[in-house]
Amino acid sequence: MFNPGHLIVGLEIGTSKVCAAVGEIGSRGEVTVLGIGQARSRGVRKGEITDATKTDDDVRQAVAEAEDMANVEIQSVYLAVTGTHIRCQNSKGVQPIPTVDRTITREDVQAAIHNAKLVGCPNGFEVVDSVRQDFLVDDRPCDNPVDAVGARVEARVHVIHGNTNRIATARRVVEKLEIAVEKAVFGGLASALAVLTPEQKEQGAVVIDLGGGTTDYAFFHGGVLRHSGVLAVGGDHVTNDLANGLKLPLPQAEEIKLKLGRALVDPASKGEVHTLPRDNGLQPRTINVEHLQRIMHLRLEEILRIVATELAPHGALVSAGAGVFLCGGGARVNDIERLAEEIFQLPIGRAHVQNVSGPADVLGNPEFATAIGLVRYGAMREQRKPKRRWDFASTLSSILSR
Amino acid sequence: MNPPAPAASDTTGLLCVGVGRAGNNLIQALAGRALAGIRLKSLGTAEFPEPAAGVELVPFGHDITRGFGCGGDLAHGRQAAEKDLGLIREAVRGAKVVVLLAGLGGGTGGGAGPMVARAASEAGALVVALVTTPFSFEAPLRHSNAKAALQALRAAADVVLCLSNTAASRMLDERTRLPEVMANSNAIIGEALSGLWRMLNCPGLVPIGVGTMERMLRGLHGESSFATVEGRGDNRAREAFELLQRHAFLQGDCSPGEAESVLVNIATNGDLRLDELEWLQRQFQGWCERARLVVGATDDPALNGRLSLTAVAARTGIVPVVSPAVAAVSAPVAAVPTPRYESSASVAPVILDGLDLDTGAPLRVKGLFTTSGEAPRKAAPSKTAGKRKAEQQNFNFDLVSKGRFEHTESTFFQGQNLDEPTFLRRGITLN
Repeated sequence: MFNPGHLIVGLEIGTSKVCAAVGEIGSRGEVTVLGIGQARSRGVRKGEITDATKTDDDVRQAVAEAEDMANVEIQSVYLAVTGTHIRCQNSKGVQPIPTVDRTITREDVQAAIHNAKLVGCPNGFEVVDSVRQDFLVDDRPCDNPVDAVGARVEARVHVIHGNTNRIATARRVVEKLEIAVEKAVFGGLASALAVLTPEQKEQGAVVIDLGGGTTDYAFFHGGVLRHSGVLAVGGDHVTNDLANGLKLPLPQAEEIKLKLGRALVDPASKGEVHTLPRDNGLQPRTINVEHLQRIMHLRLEEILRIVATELAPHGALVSAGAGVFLCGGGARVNDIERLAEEIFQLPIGRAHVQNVSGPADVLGNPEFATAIGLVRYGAMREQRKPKRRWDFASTLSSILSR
Repeated sequence: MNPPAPAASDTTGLLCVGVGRAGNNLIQALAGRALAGIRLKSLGTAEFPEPAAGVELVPFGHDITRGFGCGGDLAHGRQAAEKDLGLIREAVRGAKVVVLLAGLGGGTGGGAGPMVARAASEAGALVVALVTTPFSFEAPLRHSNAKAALQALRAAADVVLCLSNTAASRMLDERTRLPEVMANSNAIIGEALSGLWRMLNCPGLVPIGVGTMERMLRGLHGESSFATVEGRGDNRAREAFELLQRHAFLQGDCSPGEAESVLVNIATNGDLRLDELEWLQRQFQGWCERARLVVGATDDPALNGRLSLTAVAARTGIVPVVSPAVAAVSAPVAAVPTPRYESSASVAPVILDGLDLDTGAPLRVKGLFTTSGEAPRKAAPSKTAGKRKAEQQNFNFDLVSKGRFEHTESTFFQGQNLDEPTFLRRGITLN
């Protein structure tokens, strides 16, 4: 069933960095991360490629680094997509069962799912991912409708649509490097797959990926994806706010965000000033640390509140028993857990990659969650993939065994 | 094509008056649209060709212009209107809402337009001026005409919806043919008018009547922005709202977020869903947090599954202050002394209701900050001006640059532009 030694590569073209993770599937289906490559991303804003030429170089660099570290050659990748164009919605599809015996077949279920995927898919958009949630047979919940008897089967599916052209732009960048794209995957879903255990998914958990350009979120309960979404606001916005509020150039604002950033206003820092060195002979600038914290606090609070508002109708605030897990660069901000706790009133944790082995510093880094999640996604997909019809070895062995 | 039924016109009292050549063109174009219940009149100083069915032609000022039009002279237009004020008053009598259509670059539209608006206002109607300003390639004189006329109109009409042809033409491809450019402007005005008509005239569950409109817009005297968009398909509400948010006419200062009163009409052919109404209501509430907001819903069978959103965002403008002394003199408008105009530059300013008609600048002391670039030099002649309480105007420039997100699509959530720093949007000052 498994193809031991099979390589799976996840590639995330993010707003702040391009990250490639190389994973290997073991003989029992376990995943090991062999290498990670990353490069600073220069051609992406809010999760979408705005300068393909620069992104091209960045991807090349990240892929080369990952290849070096894992000592392999990358031929195909799973690609993460995100951005304002991603639309996540729960939809349902119905399939009537017209046959005399009213037994629901696998094809009927597939047809119901197919109908659900097409609902509300605007022109110029394609289905990026679809995750089945529940089935209803004649309006009664049913875990597995195959072989059940009923007049109609209804599938509830979480569907993620994305703009065809923007996804094609990202694909094209990768394909130009002679690397095939196995599948485009929604980044928020990938991060969640990396950091949640099956138990947490069952119990109810939210994963929030606080990225550079976007904040992706996903809510699992009862073992299935209940809702997900993208908010095109991220760390870049924090930097931009700081640059605006403290009147600093953007690179300096970024630097000071990483150095002094805090998600809550620390009462102890009242009146504290930080002096910025100036190397061009001008007077040194001082900035008020309290103002810095206040600006950051307001923005981060707003981001988390919007996520909470979006997830609340789906019951996330009451049924996410396992808690809220933060990943992405934003998870590194001081006190972000305390801020999230105030807003969600749930246990909060910094996400740690689960069920994957590899170097500890890689697995513990919240910024690699998406890329590693893509590897896990790929591994799961490989498992489910039906055997290829023209697999030479298996054909041969079946002939010989006759 | 579809002459308005007289019975319907009596109920709404919606009267559309075109003034001048551009106004006449717009009215003729409107006559082709099936908007029942609107009376259409065209006022002009030049002799127009035979009007379309349903349009009543009111020529005026022929004593002055001899039927050749005003030749781009504002003073001429004004004089013509003053001379035949009786005719104009007669034309606007009995209407509850007068929509004034004019191109402000010309003499008749710019000069007589404000007079028509004033006459209609005095007759008790709510006056909505739907006007265009010249294209950038037109003569400088027409631009200065338009500027003066716009100010005069702001004082006279309750609401001024101004379509800048320069702005509208920027939205088009450079190689667009001229007739198409003109047709585009006409179409935008037509759309706005259709939107207004749907608001006032179509039956529906939550109609916005003349009463509501009057309460929201009366006496604002400001410049307002408007837009009409349509969405179709399953996601039509969302599609239409997103179009509206990105609409070129509702950006920056013109955004409903900055407005004082916002009127929104959702028109469908009667198939508006509860979730759509609820969603739109919530979005608009978020977008126009500070404004008085009225959301109406009406039915128009012609929409056939589409959803049309019309938004009018009105702001308070410079309110002309009627100085008692001047008002007493000019109480009957006809009593204003009408000097012979050789050219508008060489004569003394004509003052009407505290408004300097030659520059259009209202006679008032402006606050510390003025929205228009004009210095309040004309305020000096009025002795009462100094005693009036100075009102502070909005500081009118774009404070928030988009910074890093200059070339990206703005991110909106519940009507707020999330690209702007949170602390600025919440008005938190860092002391």
